Amino acid sequence: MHLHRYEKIWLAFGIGSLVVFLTLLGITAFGFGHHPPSHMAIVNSQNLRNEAPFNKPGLQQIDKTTYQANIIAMAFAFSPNKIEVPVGSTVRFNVSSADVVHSFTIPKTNVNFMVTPGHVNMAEHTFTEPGTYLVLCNEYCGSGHHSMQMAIEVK
Amino acid sequence: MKNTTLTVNEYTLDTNVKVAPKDAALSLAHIYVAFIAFIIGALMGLLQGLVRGGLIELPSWLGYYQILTVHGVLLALVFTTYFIFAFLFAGVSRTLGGMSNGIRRVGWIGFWITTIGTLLAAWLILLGKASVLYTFYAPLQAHPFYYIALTLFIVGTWIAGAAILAHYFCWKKTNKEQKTPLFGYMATATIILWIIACLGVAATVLFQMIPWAFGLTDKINVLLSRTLFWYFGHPLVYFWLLPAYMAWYVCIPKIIGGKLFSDSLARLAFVLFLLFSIPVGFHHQLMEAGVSEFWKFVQTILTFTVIVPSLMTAFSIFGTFEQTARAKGGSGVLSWLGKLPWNDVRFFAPFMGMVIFIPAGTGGVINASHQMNAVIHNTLWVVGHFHLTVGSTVILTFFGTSYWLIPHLTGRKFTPFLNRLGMLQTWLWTIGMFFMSGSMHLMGILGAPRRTAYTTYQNHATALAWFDGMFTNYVTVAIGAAILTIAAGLMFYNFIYMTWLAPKGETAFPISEPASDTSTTPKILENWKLWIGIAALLILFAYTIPVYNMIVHAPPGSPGFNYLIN
Amino acid sequence: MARNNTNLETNKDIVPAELESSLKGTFIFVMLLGLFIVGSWSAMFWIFLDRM
Repeated sequence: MHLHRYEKIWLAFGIGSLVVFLTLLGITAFGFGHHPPSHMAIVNSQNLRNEAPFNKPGLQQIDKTTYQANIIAMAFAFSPNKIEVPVGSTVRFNVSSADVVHSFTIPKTNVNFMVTPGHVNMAEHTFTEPGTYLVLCNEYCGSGHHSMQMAIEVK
Repeated sequence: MKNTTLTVNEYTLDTNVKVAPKDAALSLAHIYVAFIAFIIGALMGLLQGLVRGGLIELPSWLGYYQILTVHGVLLALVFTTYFIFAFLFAGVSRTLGGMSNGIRRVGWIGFWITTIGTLLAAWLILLGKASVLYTFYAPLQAHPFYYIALTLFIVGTWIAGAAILAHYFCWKKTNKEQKTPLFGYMATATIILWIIACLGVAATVLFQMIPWAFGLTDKINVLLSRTLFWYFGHPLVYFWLLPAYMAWYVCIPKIIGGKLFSDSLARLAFVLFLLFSIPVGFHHQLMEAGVSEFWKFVQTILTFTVIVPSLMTAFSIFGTFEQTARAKGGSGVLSWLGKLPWNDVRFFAPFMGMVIFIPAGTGGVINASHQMNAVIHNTLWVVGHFHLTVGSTVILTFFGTSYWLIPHLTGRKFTPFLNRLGMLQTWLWTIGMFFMSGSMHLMGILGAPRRTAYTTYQNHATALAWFDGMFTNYVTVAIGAAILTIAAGLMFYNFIYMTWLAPKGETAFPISEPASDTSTTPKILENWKLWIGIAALLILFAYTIPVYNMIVHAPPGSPGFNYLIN
Repeated sequence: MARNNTNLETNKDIVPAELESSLKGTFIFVMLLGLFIVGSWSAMFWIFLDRM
């Protein structure tokens, strides 16, 4: 097999770039903890409303600026459908599904993860700007999928 | 008796060999189904574009998610699969000699089983009992017979694939010690890839979904079924792409009047696709719970490996262009480009597909980038992405292939009139896709979701902005869809013209003569047992532990939700 | 001797000669492609970091 000199340079450049990408991803993920949402906890989706913490969906204050939002995704809504936090708060979203596959997505942030029944998934975000943030479901979940939404008030 | 197997010598010398007439009939049957599916699927796409843009409302008897299911199933599964088998059957008949009656009969059996599956699925979708989109994620549950339809579809393609493999092995038997012509080699690799890939979807449909949908079991392991689906779902996209690459490697060099740049590199690229396109399904599941970061990253690395054969292909194809143009007297650093047949749609349509593969492939690298996937996961970006890959690169190559394949099979002429229509068609498709896919990519970055009917989220400012941008606007998507529909209508007319209206005559089936380095191609590249073995090891490595955990640490299963899709 | 050597060398060169024919345009094209990939990926990585 013969490789042209230019092709060797090209493949070295191409593969080199891929290695650089992987290294950057690996460092931010494993070094700084910016992993894709991969929570391993399991629940019974058919009994979700009786299992802590989803028996009391809503906001829980962890410390001065940190909150945990326990949210149930279901066809075709989130429970609760609104939460309020002060500007500068860090919110850990802890979401599970009571029925089919949904997503928990805040447009224009990195909070965009799948909510599969039986699993709990998580992501964290710090809200530095005030406003009403839209949360939507971007995984098809049935005939009313496009009406599934909630709001985060940041004041 | 035309039905004899050709030896390599004949193959090299006689480039006017035709597809045996009986094989042509089998290939044409696939073409008919492909284009009927294509035009219906394309019209559904137009409706979706108009609905999402808020320009029309669907009548009460037609659901948005129903037409979305039709669009995805007909274009991504039916059109692609049927066209690919049409191309592969014709190509192996052309390069390895006519098929024996027995093998051809197996091909027909495959065709009919696949078609029965397609019709059954179409019927259930029309009834509104299977609006589960082409990914049919559990625990949304379609009509039980929808899963039977899917099974028939897959089993039919396996039988058709077996016919192609059998034809290849027969050729090998009568041509011991000969190197398989490149087309036959690549067809074999593609079919092997398809069969290994389908094992995943077959496992979830047969062992999970059918018992669950028929009520034999009442719960399903959702994560396991998603994983088995994506074990299949990613090599599925390579099953679309590889036949397009075959046209680039084997047919285009002949069309431009040259020959392939390197035989061994072409074969090596296909081996790499076979090895690395399967153990990568987690890059579709990067955003979900139940799969650990470690295994996601392992599959991210494997995904990046499968980019390499595409980098090789970029060099090989452009190298072929440059060598051919220079042999024809082209010179300068870039002015040789003028020697390429820009006015020949058989070259131009696939060429536009190649150009579009630059942003398409780049988008793919971004999608697979582990945690970065959060920026675009399940947004319109992804829809824009696969409308560039399968919806432009692959389909434009298939269109370009149609212009010689269909008249070759129907015994008609590729006319200057047809060429002009084809050039217009290619431009319309490219322009339509620029608007539609371009705006989809950018709106995805702004958070617009995929697979979602018209909604302003109760007039939320974030969502209203998607109707308000200069370019990042659902109306831009609709305009692109409208242009694409005109292009699709024109393509359907071209199909009719090539099948029934064009003047009788002959059109060549272009197969490049072997590259000059063919004699030095290492024999090991055709050692399928070795490559299948390594592919199996890579799959076991990438999947065993995470799948074991999914089964052992499974949450209570999910019942079926069939009432949510009505 | 010298002649033989030249012959050998030319022979050596002949095999790859066809492959070594000018591929400057190809090289420019693939390198531009590479830069496009690196540029787009970096832009998206920047967006990801910016949204954190």
